[in-house]
Amino acid sequence: MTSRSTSPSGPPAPRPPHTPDVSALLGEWVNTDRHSAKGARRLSVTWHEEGMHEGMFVRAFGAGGPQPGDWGEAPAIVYTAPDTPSVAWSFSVVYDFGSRRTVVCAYHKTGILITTTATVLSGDGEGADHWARSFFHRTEARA
Amino acid sequence: MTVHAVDPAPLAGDWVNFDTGATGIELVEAAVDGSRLRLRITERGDPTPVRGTPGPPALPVTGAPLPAVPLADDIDAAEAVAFLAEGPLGSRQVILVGYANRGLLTIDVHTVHPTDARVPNVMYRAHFYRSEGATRT
Repeated sequence: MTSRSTSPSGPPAPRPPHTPDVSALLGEWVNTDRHSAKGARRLSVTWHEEGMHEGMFVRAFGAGGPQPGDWGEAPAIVYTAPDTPSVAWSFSVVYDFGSRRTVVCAYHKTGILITTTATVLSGDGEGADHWARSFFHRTEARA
Repeated sequence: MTVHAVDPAPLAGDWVNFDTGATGIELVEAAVDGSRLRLRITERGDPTPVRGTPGPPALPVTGAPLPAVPLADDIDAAEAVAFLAEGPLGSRQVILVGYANRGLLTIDVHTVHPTDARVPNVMYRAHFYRSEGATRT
């Protein structure tokens, strides 16, 4: 399996027929609120081109505390806007940690990746079911 | 600390889409159902309007039930400011993420057509105000 992430200035990611252009979503994203304990701190969004698991994958890294540091990589569902079926602008991804289930939904707008993170706890969890809205920018490429 | 329930009451009520000309979700009726929210969704027109796509259009729903988990602003908070609803809505599978701020309810609507892969998944955002009237419990 190979994977690829691109920036808007890079070449478009290969994609099968009927798959929208996901280039705007791919890449390494960093939470603008570096001190927030809620939601993910960093997202790595990639497109896997080969094998049974072709599609978008998102690896999330949390802020620590009660949540794990590395949420792992999970398959994502991509979405288009109603009038733009050829371009993906949104994804959702689910992380199941047993005692907590976290649903991350994201959309891209003018260079910003805006996420909502909903965390639902089971009997072994602690605290309240909660959510966070976060803003991500791309990692800065340095020569 | 153990899991504690989030009070869903702050989100209960009838929420009306500001955009009276928009297709998609027109009305969300949210009622308290124990520690959860019970949504009833009503749509207007083509719920996921995508021009030029194959397959029959999805039919709008009227009063379709959808359970929702109330969400607090923080792990230590007790009142709902948001909700997560997942499940079938007509012929589609949806994820609704709703969040309220100063009387404005924003819902991010994520739609998948599980029976027709040719129809693209769609996400749109809609904004709602609370209809004047009694809060549903």
